[in-house]
Amino acid sequence: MGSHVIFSSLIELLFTPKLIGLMLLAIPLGIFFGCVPGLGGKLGIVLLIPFVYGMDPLPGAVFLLSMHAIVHTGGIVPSILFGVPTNGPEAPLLVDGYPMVRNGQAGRALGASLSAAGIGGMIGVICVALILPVVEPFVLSFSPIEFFWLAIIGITLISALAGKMLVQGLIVGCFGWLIGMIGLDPQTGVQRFTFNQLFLWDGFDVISGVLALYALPEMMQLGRGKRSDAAASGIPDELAPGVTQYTFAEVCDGVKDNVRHWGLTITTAVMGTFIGMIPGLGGEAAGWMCYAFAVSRAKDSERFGKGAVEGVIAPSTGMNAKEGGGLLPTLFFGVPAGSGMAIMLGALIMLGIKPGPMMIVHDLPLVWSLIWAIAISNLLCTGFLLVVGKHMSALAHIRASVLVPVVLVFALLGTYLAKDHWESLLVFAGMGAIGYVMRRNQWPRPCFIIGLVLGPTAELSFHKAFALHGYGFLTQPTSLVMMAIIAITLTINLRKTYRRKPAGAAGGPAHASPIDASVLPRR
Amino acid sequence: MNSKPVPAGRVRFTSTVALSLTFLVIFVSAVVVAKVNYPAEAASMPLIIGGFGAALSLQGGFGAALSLLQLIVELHASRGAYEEQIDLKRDIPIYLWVWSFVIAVTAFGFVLAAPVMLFVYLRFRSRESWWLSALLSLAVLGLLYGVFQTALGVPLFEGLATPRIRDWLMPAGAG
Repeated sequence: MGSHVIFSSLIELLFTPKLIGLMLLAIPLGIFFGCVPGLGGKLGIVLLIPFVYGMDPLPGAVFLLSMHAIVHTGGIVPSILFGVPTNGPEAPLLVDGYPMVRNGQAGRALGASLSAAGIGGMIGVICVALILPVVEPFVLSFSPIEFFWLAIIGITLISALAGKMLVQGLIVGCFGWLIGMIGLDPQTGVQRFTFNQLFLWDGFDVISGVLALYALPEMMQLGRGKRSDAAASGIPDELAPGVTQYTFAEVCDGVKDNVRHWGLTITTAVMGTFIGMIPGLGGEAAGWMCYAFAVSRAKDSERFGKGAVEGVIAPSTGMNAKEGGGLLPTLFFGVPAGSGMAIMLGALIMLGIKPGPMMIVHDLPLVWSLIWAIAISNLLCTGFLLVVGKHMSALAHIRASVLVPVVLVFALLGTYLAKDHWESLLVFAGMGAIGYVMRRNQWPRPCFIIGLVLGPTAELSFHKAFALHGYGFLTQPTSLVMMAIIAITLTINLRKTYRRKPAGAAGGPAHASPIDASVLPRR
Repeated sequence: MNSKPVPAGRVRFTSTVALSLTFLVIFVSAVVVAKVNYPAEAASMPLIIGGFGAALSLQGGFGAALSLLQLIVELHASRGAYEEQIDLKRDIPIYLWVWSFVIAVTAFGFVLAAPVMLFVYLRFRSRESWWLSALLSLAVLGLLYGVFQTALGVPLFEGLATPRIRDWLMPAGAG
């Protein structure tokens, strides 16, 4: 791998007006999806699908990835200023960020968190750049056997995603896999589960599935209330007037906190990158694990939860660094690191990009462009929010009653454009009902995407491996090692799950968060 | 959503029971369809995942067995448990709105139906002001027609009824 590839990709990205223009457009959109409660990166990707329809692979991918990479940075502002985490990964910021605001340190908290997120994003990208040459020969040596087991490992991680709802998670994962079988069977060419419907011949795409199971249930949940309910964005009224006001000098003081705690910043960024590479863990795990690390290394850990700046820095770096890490398994193995990357994978495929080991051989400039896109968008977004962050917080006040129909229109548009068949709209509404009931009962919907994305990969690799080696491939050393990894992963996850204490006598949420309720705003 | 105690010993048809039952039906149907219609190679994975896995020698199959297990668990749990009731009075209207959007777009296409439905929703469901409803609807119309259809050249669905109405209003050769 020549350094000219690395730097020519950067120069192309910076000096092609279309590419830099798309990145500049993606940044406010990413901030918007991050700031508005109920939206988020996953929904952001699927709602932007219509805009990249028909685009060349590079501009389309740069646009979507730039937007997705900064969603959590955008979410920092309402999470810290109002104690309203717009997405799951921002939740750890509340523990110390919100108390800092109540202590009159809003500017410092925002400065520390935003700059930590920017640094985290950059370090994540640097780690990936350093790992890439090491991974290259490893990836190229993979055969269908390894790909089969890798897909199975990814599916096994349903046990981690599902938490206490393991059986439900497996059912949803099986459902996703079954839906993934719709269309042409890769082995025999037989049409499966198409029921003589032309629109199902090409299979069921990830975008439609995500829109039906994510976007529609979220919008239905937001839209089911009365206007007065829907207008309530969860912004607390307990904050003293002026407490969310701050000066730029205070923001700069927060930025300097990253220098004062440089060891923590770098360590948690590296941690976040590696957490991002592990399929199934995702941003929430990255944020909480980095926060736990910050608490464990502190000499006076009792400060945490009361406004310790380290408690703001650690999750911010972790949740942004994992975006770079998540790119590796997604692009080179076709195994998405999390549900967000699973959707990104579907979008990349729709754009004509074929994730897999051959990307290292044929598409390395594209890979580097995507890596640079994450880095640049992180830098630009951080700089932008450091200056105008407090004005962006107004986005958190957007009424759900206005948001719901607009998002619904774009969800319908995305569903239609994903396959160019009007029948997809009916499937969207039908599957949305299942998604809504799943949401209301807290069934783990990310498992559907894992099954939908990895199921067909597992099946295809299985048939290829079987054709090459017969059932003997199951007893090859690689298979035995992979089986051992799966058994260990499953055992650890099951032990963790069933050792957890119940969330509450009346049946609390499946994924109880470790936030101390006393530090959170009253709703 | 209300939390109401369910009388002890009484089995309720809760939404989770309905969900488990739905998945059970889906998996069993997939198994039957695969077994009856597809050659062995094409049917193997649907049988393993959705139903009677020959390799697993399970009568119910993996997915179906899990759904059945879940159904039994839910039915058992519903006896005397506190259940979060799904409030149909609030859930059905919003779902009907979703279907009305889908039907309108299917019939009249994105450019015509989406702004109109958006306006109707904003004005009559969300009780937003006339001007905000009209402004947002016009913005969406501009985005769909101006940006997508004209500037980006994205072929938007024009609906099943629109071409027929156009043909009826302007028969071939009339213009």
